[in-house]
Amino acid sequence: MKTNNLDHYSDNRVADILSPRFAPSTNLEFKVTAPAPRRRFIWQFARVGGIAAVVAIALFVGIKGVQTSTAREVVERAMTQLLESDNCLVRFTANVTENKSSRELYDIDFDGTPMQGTVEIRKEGSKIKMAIKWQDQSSSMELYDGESYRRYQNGQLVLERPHGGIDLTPFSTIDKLNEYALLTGILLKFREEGDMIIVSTRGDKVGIIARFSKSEGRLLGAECSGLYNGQQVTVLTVNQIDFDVPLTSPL
Amino acid sequence: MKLINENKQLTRLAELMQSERNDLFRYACYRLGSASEAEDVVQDLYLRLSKQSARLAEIEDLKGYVYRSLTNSCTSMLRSRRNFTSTDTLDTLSSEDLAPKDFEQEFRLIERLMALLPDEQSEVIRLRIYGGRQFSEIAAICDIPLTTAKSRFRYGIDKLREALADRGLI
Repeated sequence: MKTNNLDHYSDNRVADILSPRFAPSTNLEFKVTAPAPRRRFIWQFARVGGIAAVVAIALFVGIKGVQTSTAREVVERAMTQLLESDNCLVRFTANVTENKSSRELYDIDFDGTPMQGTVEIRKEGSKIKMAIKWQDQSSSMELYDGESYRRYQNGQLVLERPHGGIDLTPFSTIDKLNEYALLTGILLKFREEGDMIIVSTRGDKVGIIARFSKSEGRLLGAECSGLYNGQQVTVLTVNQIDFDVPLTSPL
Repeated sequence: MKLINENKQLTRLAELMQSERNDLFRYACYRLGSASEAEDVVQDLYLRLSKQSARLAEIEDLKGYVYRSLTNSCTSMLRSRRNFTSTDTLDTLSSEDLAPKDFEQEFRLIERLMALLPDEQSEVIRLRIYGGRQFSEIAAICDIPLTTAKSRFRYGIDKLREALADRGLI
Protein backbone atom coordinates (compact mmCIF):
# COMPACT_ATOMS: atom_id res chain seq x y z
CA MET A 1 0.00 0.00 0.00
CA LYS A 2 2.81 2.27 0.93
CA THR A 3 4.50 1.52 -2.38
CA ASN A 4 1.31 2.44 -4.23
CA ASN A 5 1.11 5.76 -2.44
CA LEU A 6 4.75 6.39 -3.24
CA ASP A 7 4.12 5.47 -6.86
CA HIS A 8 1.17 7.82 -6.97
CA TYR A 9 3.27 10.61 -5.51
CA SER A 10 6.07 9.87 -7.97
CA ASP A 11 3.65 9.77 -10.89
CA ASN A 12 2.36 13.17 -9.91
CA ARG A 13 5.91 14.40 -9.69
CA VAL A 14 6.65 13.05 -13.18
CA ALA A 15 3.49 14.66 -14.50
CA ASP A 16 4.51 17.88 -12.80
CA ILE A 17 7.96 17.77 -14.40
CA LEU A 18 6.44 17.21 -17.83
CA SER A 19 3.79 19.92 -17.48
CA PRO A 20 4.38 22.88 -19.78
CA ARG A 21 5.10 26.00 -17.77
CA PHE A 22 6.74 28.21 -20.34
CA ALA A 23 4.67 27.44 -23.41
CA PRO A 24 4.96 30.36 -25.85
CA SER A 25 1.72 31.92 -27.03
CA THR A 26 0.62 32.51 -30.60
CA ASN A 27 -1.44 35.07 -32.44
CA LEU A 28 -2.13 32.79 -35.37
CA GLU A 29 -5.59 33.37 -36.83
CA PHE A 30 -7.49 31.05 -39.13
CA LYS A 31 -10.36 32.35 -41.20
CA VAL A 32 -12.15 31.26 -44.28
CA THR A 33 -10.93 33.36 -47.19
CA ALA A 34 -12.53 36.78 -47.14
CA PRO A 35 -13.90 38.56 -50.22
CA ALA A 36 -11.30 40.54 -52.11
CA PRO A 37 -10.90 44.08 -50.79
CA ARG A 38 -11.97 46.90 -53.06
CA ARG A 39 -8.66 48.67 -52.76
CA ARG A 40 -5.92 46.48 -54.02
CA PHE A 41 -2.98 45.69 -51.84
CA ILE A 42 0.54 45.95 -53.05
CA TRP A 43 0.76 42.23 -53.73
CA GLN A 44 -2.27 42.26 -55.88
CA PHE A 45 -1.84 45.06 -58.28
CA ALA A 46 -3.28 43.22 -61.18
CA ARG A 47 -1.12 41.35 -63.59
CA VAL A 48 2.13 42.85 -62.49
CA GLY A 49 1.70 40.93 -59.24
CA GLY A 50 5.12 39.39 -59.72
CA ILE A 51 6.74 42.77 -59.44
CA ALA A 52 4.67 43.62 -56.41
CA ALA A 53 5.56 40.44 -54.62
CA VAL A 54 9.27 40.71 -55.26
CA VAL A 55 9.34 44.39 -54.48
CA ALA A 56 7.30 43.90 -51.33
CA ILE A 57 9.63 41.23 -50.04
CA ALA A 58 12.59 43.33 -50.99
CA LEU A 59 11.14 46.39 -49.31
CA PHE A 60 10.29 44.59 -46.15
CA VAL A 61 13.62 42.99 -45.66
CA GLY A 62 16.08 45.01 -47.66
CA ILE A 63 17.12 47.65 -45.22
CA LYS A 64 20.50 48.82 -44.17
CA GLY A 65 22.11 48.60 -40.79
CA VAL A 66 20.01 45.89 -39.24
CA GLN A 67 21.94 43.58 -36.94
CA THR A 68 19.58 41.14 -35.36
CA SER A 69 19.15 37.50 -34.55
CA THR A 70 16.19 36.16 -36.47
CA ALA A 71 14.85 36.55 -39.97
CA ARG A 72 11.43 37.47 -38.64
CA GLU A 73 12.91 40.28 -36.57
CA VAL A 74 14.66 41.58 -39.67
CA VAL A 75 11.35 41.59 -41.51
CA GLU A 76 9.53 43.24 -38.63
CA ARG A 77 12.09 46.01 -38.38
CA ALA A 78 12.24 46.38 -42.14
CA MET A 79 8.51 46.94 -42.27
CA THR A 80 8.77 49.58 -39.61
CA GLN A 81 11.60 51.15 -41.57
CA LEU A 82 9.48 51.15 -44.70
CA LEU A 83 6.58 52.80 -42.94
CA GLU A 84 8.84 55.35 -41.31
CA SER A 85 10.88 56.24 -44.38
CA ASP A 86 9.63 59.06 -46.56
CA ASN A 87 10.40 57.34 -49.82
CA CYS A 88 12.17 54.45 -51.44
CA LEU A 89 13.34 53.54 -54.89
CA VAL A 90 13.61 50.02 -56.31
CA ARG A 91 15.34 49.24 -59.59
CA PHE A 92 14.30 46.09 -61.38
CA THR A 93 14.44 44.24 -64.68
CA ALA A 94 11.47 42.23 -65.89
CA ASN A 95 10.46 40.15 -68.90
CA VAL A 96 7.28 41.84 -70.08
CA THR A 97 4.63 41.72 -72.76
CA GLU A 98 1.90 44.26 -73.37
CA ASN A 99 -1.16 43.79 -71.21
CA LYS A 100 -4.01 43.00 -73.58
CA SER A 101 -6.81 44.05 -71.25
CA SER A 102 -5.11 47.42 -70.64
CA ARG A 103 -5.80 47.15 -66.94
CA GLU A 104 -2.10 47.68 -66.45
CA LEU A 105 0.55 48.40 -68.99
CA TYR A 106 2.59 45.22 -68.93
CA ASP A 107 2.35 41.60 -67.91
CA ILE A 108 5.22 39.60 -66.55
CA ASP A 109 5.72 36.88 -69.11
CA PHE A 110 8.14 34.04 -69.63
CA ASP A 111 8.18 34.94 -73.32
CA GLY A 112 8.50 38.64 -72.65
CA THR A 113 11.21 41.13 -73.55
CA PRO A 114 13.53 42.28 -70.75
CA MET A 115 12.77 45.82 -69.69
CA GLN A 116 14.19 47.93 -66.91
CA GLY A 117 12.07 49.92 -64.56
CA THR A 118 11.84 51.52 -61.17
CA VAL A 119 9.27 51.43 -58.40
CA GLU A 120 9.02 54.57 -56.32
CA ILE A 121 7.08 54.66 -53.11
CA ARG A 122 6.55 58.00 -51.51
CA LYS A 123 4.66 59.17 -48.45
CA GLU A 124 2.72 62.38 -48.65
CA GLY A 125 1.00 63.03 -45.36
CA SER A 126 -1.24 60.10 -44.65
CA LYS A 127 -1.19 59.03 -48.30
CA ILE A 128 1.18 56.59 -49.90
CA LYS A 129 1.87 56.88 -53.59
CA MET A 130 3.52 54.25 -55.68
CA ALA A 131 4.75 54.70 -59.21
CA ILE A 132 6.19 52.20 -61.65
CA LYS A 133 8.31 53.89 -64.25
CA TRP A 134 9.10 51.86 -67.34
CA GLN A 135 12.14 52.53 -69.48
CA ASP A 136 10.17 52.06 -72.68
CA GLN A 137 10.01 54.32 -75.70
CA SER A 138 7.16 56.39 -74.35
CA SER A 139 8.58 56.63 -70.81
CA SER A 140 5.43 55.18 -69.28
CA MET A 141 4.51 55.68 -65.68
CA GLU A 142 1.82 53.91 -63.68
CA LEU A 143 0.77 55.76 -60.57
CA TYR A 144 -1.14 54.35 -57.63
CA ASP A 145 -1.96 57.22 -55.31
CA GLY A 146 -3.90 55.35 -52.65
CA GLU A 147 -7.26 56.06 -54.27
CA SER A 148 -6.89 55.71 -58.03
CA TYR A 149 -4.71 54.37 -60.81
CA ARG A 150 -3.31 56.71 -63.44
CA ARG A 151 -1.14 56.06 -66.45
CA TYR A 152 1.13 58.62 -68.05
CA GLN A 153 3.09 58.51 -71.28
CA ASN A 154 5.68 61.17 -72.03
CA GLY A 155 4.34 63.07 -69.05
CA GLN A 156 0.75 63.15 -70.38
CA LEU A 157 -2.13 61.50 -68.51
CA VAL A 158 -3.58 58.82 -70.81
CA LEU A 159 -5.72 56.74 -68.44
CA GLU A 160 -7.38 57.23 -65.08
CA ARG A 161 -9.29 54.61 -63.13
CA PRO A 162 -10.78 54.91 -59.65
CA HIS A 163 -10.25 52.38 -56.88
CA GLY A 164 -6.80 51.42 -58.07
CA GLY A 165 -4.82 52.56 -55.10
CA ILE A 166 -2.48 50.71 -52.79
CA ASP A 167 -2.54 50.09 -49.11
CA LEU A 168 0.54 49.13 -47.18
CA THR A 169 -1.32 48.63 -43.90
CA PRO A 170 -1.39 44.83 -44.19
CA PHE A 171 2.39 44.84 -44.04
CA SER A 172 2.84 47.13 -41.07
CA THR A 173 3.56 44.24 -38.71
CA ILE A 174 4.58 40.64 -39.13
CA ASP A 175 1.26 39.55 -37.63
CA LYS A 176 -0.69 41.57 -40.18
CA LEU A 177 1.48 40.24 -42.97
CA ASN A 178 0.95 36.68 -41.77
CA GLU A 179 -2.79 37.26 -41.52
CA TYR A 180 -2.90 38.75 -44.99
CA ALA A 181 -0.72 35.99 -46.40
CA LEU A 182 -3.03 33.43 -44.87
CA LEU A 183 -6.12 35.05 -46.36
CA THR A 184 -4.58 35.17 -49.79
CA GLY A 185 -2.87 31.80 -49.63
CA ILE A 186 0.64 33.22 -49.68
CA LEU A 187 3.11 31.42 -47.49
CA LEU A 188 6.30 33.25 -46.64
CA LYS A 189 9.18 31.06 -45.61
CA PHE A 190 12.22 32.30 -43.76
CA ARG A 191 15.42 30.36 -43.88
CA GLU A 192 18.92 31.12 -42.69
CA GLU A 193 22.00 29.79 -44.41
CA GLY A 194 25.13 31.09 -42.75
CA ASP A 195 25.05 34.83 -43.10
CA MET A 196 22.19 34.74 -45.56
CA ILE A 197 18.51 35.15 -44.81
CA ILE A 198 16.38 33.71 -47.57
CA VAL A 199 12.74 34.72 -47.81
CA SER A 200 10.71 32.74 -50.27
CA THR A 201 7.16 32.26 -51.42
CA ARG A 202 5.78 30.03 -54.12
CA GLY A 203 2.60 30.41 -56.11
CA ASP A 204 1.12 28.07 -58.67
CA LYS A 205 3.36 29.21 -61.49
CA VAL A 206 6.23 31.20 -60.05
CA GLY A 207 8.37 31.35 -56.97
CA ILE A 208 10.01 34.37 -55.44
CA ILE A 209 13.27 34.31 -53.58
CA ALA A 210 14.98 37.22 -51.88
CA ARG A 211 18.42 36.90 -50.34
CA PHE A 212 19.79 39.19 -47.65
CA SER A 213 23.03 39.51 -45.79
CA LYS A 214 22.35 39.28 -42.09
CA SER A 215 25.61 40.88 -41.01
CA GLU A 216 25.39 43.73 -43.51
CA GLY A 217 21.63 44.06 -43.15
CA ARG A 218 21.12 44.57 -46.84
CA LEU A 219 19.44 43.01 -49.81
CA LEU A 220 21.76 40.89 -51.90
CA GLY A 221 19.25 40.11 -54.60
CA ALA A 222 15.72 39.03 -55.35
CA GLU A 223 14.18 37.22 -58.23
CA CYS A 224 10.98 35.76 -59.49
CA SER A 225 11.24 32.60 -61.56
CA GLY A 226 9.29 29.61 -62.71
CA LEU A 227 9.35 26.54 -64.90
CA TYR A 228 8.73 27.25 -68.56
CA ASN A 229 9.16 24.64 -71.29
CA GLY A 230 11.00 22.49 -68.79
CA GLN A 231 13.49 25.23 -67.97
CA GLN A 232 13.78 27.45 -64.90
CA VAL A 233 13.29 30.96 -66.25
CA THR A 234 13.84 34.16 -64.28
CA VAL A 235 11.20 36.72 -65.17
CA LEU A 236 11.96 39.48 -62.72
CA THR A 237 15.05 40.62 -60.86
CA VAL A 238 15.29 43.30 -58.21
CA ASN A 239 18.64 44.94 -58.78
CA GLN A 240 18.78 47.61 -56.08
CA ILE A 241 16.73 49.25 -53.36
CA ASP A 242 17.38 52.60 -51.69
CA PHE A 243 15.57 54.39 -48.91
CA ASP A 244 15.16 58.11 -48.43
CA VAL A 245 16.94 59.04 -51.64
CA PRO A 246 16.00 62.04 -53.78
CA LEU A 247 13.50 60.79 -56.34
CA THR A 248 14.07 61.67 -59.97
CA SER A 249 10.78 63.36 -60.76
CA PRO A 250 7.61 64.41 -58.97
CA LEU A 251 4.79 61.88 -58.79
CA MET B 1 -23.65 18.72 -53.64
CA LYS B 2 -20.00 17.80 -53.46
CA LEU B 3 -19.00 21.43 -53.79
CA ILE B 4 -21.26 22.35 -50.89
CA ASN B 5 -19.62 19.64 -48.82
CA GLU B 6 -16.17 20.90 -49.77
CA ASN B 7 -17.05 24.45 -48.78
CA LYS B 8 -18.51 23.24 -45.52
CA GLN B 9 -15.35 21.31 -44.82
CA LEU B 10 -13.20 24.38 -45.53
CA THR B 11 -15.30 26.38 -43.08
CA ARG B 12 -15.06 23.54 -40.57
CA LEU B 13 -11.32 23.40 -41.09
CA ALA B 14 -10.89 27.12 -40.43
CA GLU B 15 -13.10 26.93 -37.34
CA LEU B 16 -11.32 23.85 -36.08
CA MET B 17 -7.87 25.37 -36.61
CA GLN B 18 -8.99 28.54 -34.85
CA SER B 19 -10.46 26.73 -31.84
CA GLU B 20 -7.55 24.27 -31.60
CA ARG B 21 -4.77 26.70 -32.47
CA ASN B 22 -3.34 26.93 -28.96
CA ASP B 23 -3.17 23.15 -28.57
CA LEU B 24 -1.78 22.66 -32.07
CA PHE B 25 0.78 25.38 -31.54
CA ARG B 26 1.79 24.12 -28.08
CA TYR B 27 2.21 20.57 -29.36
CA ALA B 28 4.39 21.81 -32.23
CA CYS B 29 6.40 24.03 -29.86
CA TYR B 30 7.27 21.16 -27.57
CA ARG B 31 8.02 18.92 -30.52
CA LEU B 32 10.25 21.37 -32.38
CA GLY B 33 11.57 23.56 -29.57
CA SER B 34 10.92 26.76 -31.48
CA ALA B 35 7.88 29.03 -31.44
CA SER B 36 8.55 30.47 -34.89
CA GLU B 37 8.99 27.02 -36.44
CA ALA B 38 5.85 25.86 -34.65
CA GLU B 39 3.90 28.76 -36.18
CA ASP B 40 5.33 27.96 -39.61
CA VAL B 41 4.34 24.32 -39.32
CA VAL B 42 0.80 25.06 -38.12
CA GLN B 43 0.26 27.75 -40.73
CA ASP B 44 1.74 25.58 -43.47
CA LEU B 45 -0.54 22.77 -42.39
CA TYR B 46 -3.63 24.97 -42.69
CA LEU B 47 -2.65 26.19 -46.15
CA ARG B 48 -1.90 22.67 -47.29
CA LEU B 49 -5.14 21.23 -45.98
CA SER B 50 -7.25 24.09 -47.28
CA LYS B 51 -5.99 23.32 -50.78
CA GLN B 52 -7.26 19.75 -50.44
CA SER B 53 -10.94 20.59 -50.12
CA ALA B 54 -12.04 17.57 -52.16
CA ARG B 55 -10.10 15.25 -49.92
CA LEU B 56 -11.28 16.99 -46.76
CA ALA B 57 -14.88 16.38 -47.76
CA GLU B 58 -14.27 12.66 -47.47
CA ILE B 59 -12.81 12.85 -43.97
CA GLU B 60 -15.15 12.21 -41.08
CA ASP B 61 -12.77 12.82 -38.18
CA LEU B 62 -11.32 16.13 -39.28
CA LYS B 63 -9.79 16.92 -35.90
CA GLY B 64 -7.96 13.60 -35.81
CA TYR B 65 -6.79 14.16 -39.37
CA VAL B 66 -5.45 17.62 -38.52
CA TYR B 67 -3.50 16.35 -35.51
CA ARG B 68 -2.19 13.36 -37.43
CA SER B 69 -1.03 15.68 -40.22
CA LEU B 70 0.61 17.94 -37.65
CA THR B 71 2.54 15.10 -36.01
CA ASN B 72 3.73 14.01 -39.47
CA SER B 73 4.75 17.56 -40.39
CA CYS B 74 6.74 17.93 -37.17
CA THR B 75 8.45 14.58 -37.72
CA SER B 76 9.36 15.60 -41.28
CA MET B 77 10.77 18.90 -40.09
CA LEU B 78 12.85 17.20 -37.40
CA ARG B 79 14.21 14.75 -39.96
CA SER B 80 15.15 17.58 -42.30
CA ARG B 81 17.32 19.17 -39.61
CA ARG B 82 20.62 17.75 -40.65
CA ASN B 83 22.44 18.67 -37.45
CA PHE B 84 19.69 17.73 -35.06
CA THR B 85 21.28 15.38 -32.56
CA SER B 86 20.73 15.59 -28.86
CA THR B 87 23.87 14.73 -26.94
CA ASP B 88 22.37 15.32 -23.50
CA THR B 89 21.54 12.20 -21.54
CA LEU B 90 19.78 11.70 -18.26
CA ASP B 91 23.06 10.79 -16.56
CA THR B 92 24.06 14.43 -16.37
CA LEU B 93 20.63 15.60 -15.24
CA SER B 94 20.62 17.48 -11.94
CA SER B 95 17.76 18.46 -9.65
CA GLU B 96 18.34 22.02 -10.83
CA ASP B 97 17.53 20.93 -14.38
CA LEU B 98 14.14 19.77 -13.15
CA ALA B 99 13.19 23.37 -12.42
CA PRO B 100 13.69 25.09 -15.80
CA LYS B 101 13.58 28.86 -15.90
CA ASP B 102 12.51 29.40 -19.48
CA PHE B 103 11.06 27.60 -22.49
CA GLU B 104 14.46 26.66 -23.87
CA GLN B 105 15.53 24.91 -20.65
CA GLU B 106 12.13 23.30 -20.32
CA PHE B 107 12.24 21.99 -23.89
CA ARG B 108 15.74 20.55 -23.35
CA LEU B 109 14.58 18.79 -20.19
CA ILE B 110 11.54 17.30 -21.89
CA GLU B 111 13.61 16.19 -24.88
CA ARG B 112 16.03 14.40 -22.56
CA LEU B 113 13.18 12.63 -20.83
CA MET B 114 11.36 11.73 -24.03
CA ALA B 115 14.60 10.32 -25.48
CA LEU B 116 14.36 7.56 -22.88
CA LEU B 117 11.11 6.29 -24.36
CA PRO B 118 10.18 4.43 -27.51
CA ASP B 119 8.68 6.78 -30.11
CA GLU B 120 5.18 5.35 -29.75
CA GLN B 121 5.14 6.07 -25.99
CA SER B 122 6.65 9.56 -26.24
CA GLU B 123 4.17 10.45 -28.99
CA VAL B 124 1.19 9.52 -26.82
CA ILE B 125 2.62 11.50 -23.90
CA ARG B 126 3.22 14.53 -26.12
CA LEU B 127 -0.28 14.43 -27.56
CA ARG B 128 -1.77 14.05 -24.07
CA ILE B 129 0.27 16.67 -22.23
CA TYR B 130 1.19 19.24 -24.90
CA GLY B 131 -1.57 18.64 -27.42
CA GLY B 132 -4.20 18.41 -24.66
CA ARG B 133 -5.87 15.39 -26.32
CA GLN B 134 -8.16 12.88 -24.66
CA PHE B 135 -7.06 9.24 -24.85
CA SER B 136 -9.93 8.48 -27.23
CA GLU B 137 -8.65 11.23 -29.54
CA ILE B 138 -5.08 9.98 -29.26
CA ALA B 139 -6.27 6.50 -30.18
CA ALA B 140 -7.88 7.92 -33.32
CA ILE B 141 -4.86 10.09 -34.21
CA CYS B 142 -2.38 7.22 -33.79
CA ASP B 143 -4.81 4.65 -35.20
CA ILE B 144 -4.53 2.37 -32.17
CA PRO B 145 -7.10 0.93 -29.74
CA LEU B 146 -8.06 3.08 -26.77
CA THR B 147 -6.53 0.61 -24.31
CA THR B 148 -3.23 0.75 -26.20
CA ALA B 149 -3.19 4.54 -26.05
CA LYS B 150 -3.73 4.41 -22.28
CA SER B 151 -1.16 1.69 -21.70
CA ARG B 152 1.48 3.45 -23.80
CA PHE B 153 0.98 6.54 -21.68
CA ARG B 154 1.12 4.47 -18.49
CA TYR B 155 4.26 2.58 -19.53
CA GLY B 156 5.95 5.81 -20.56
CA ILE B 157 5.23 7.53 -17.26
CA ASP B 158 6.35 4.40 -15.36
CA LYS B 159 9.61 4.34 -17.24
CA LEU B 160 10.28 8.02 -16.58
CA ARG B 161 9.42 7.60 -12.90
CA GLU B 162 11.83 4.70 -12.57
CA ALA B 163 14.58 6.51 -14.43
CA LEU B 164 14.24 9.61 -12.28
CA ALA B 165 13.92 7.59 -9.06
CA ASP B 166 17.03 5.53 -9.91
CA ARG B 167 18.99 8.76 -10.11
CA GLY B 168 17.51 10.04 -6.87
CA LEU B 169 15.83 12.92 -8.62
CA ILE B 170 12.30 12.25 -7.33
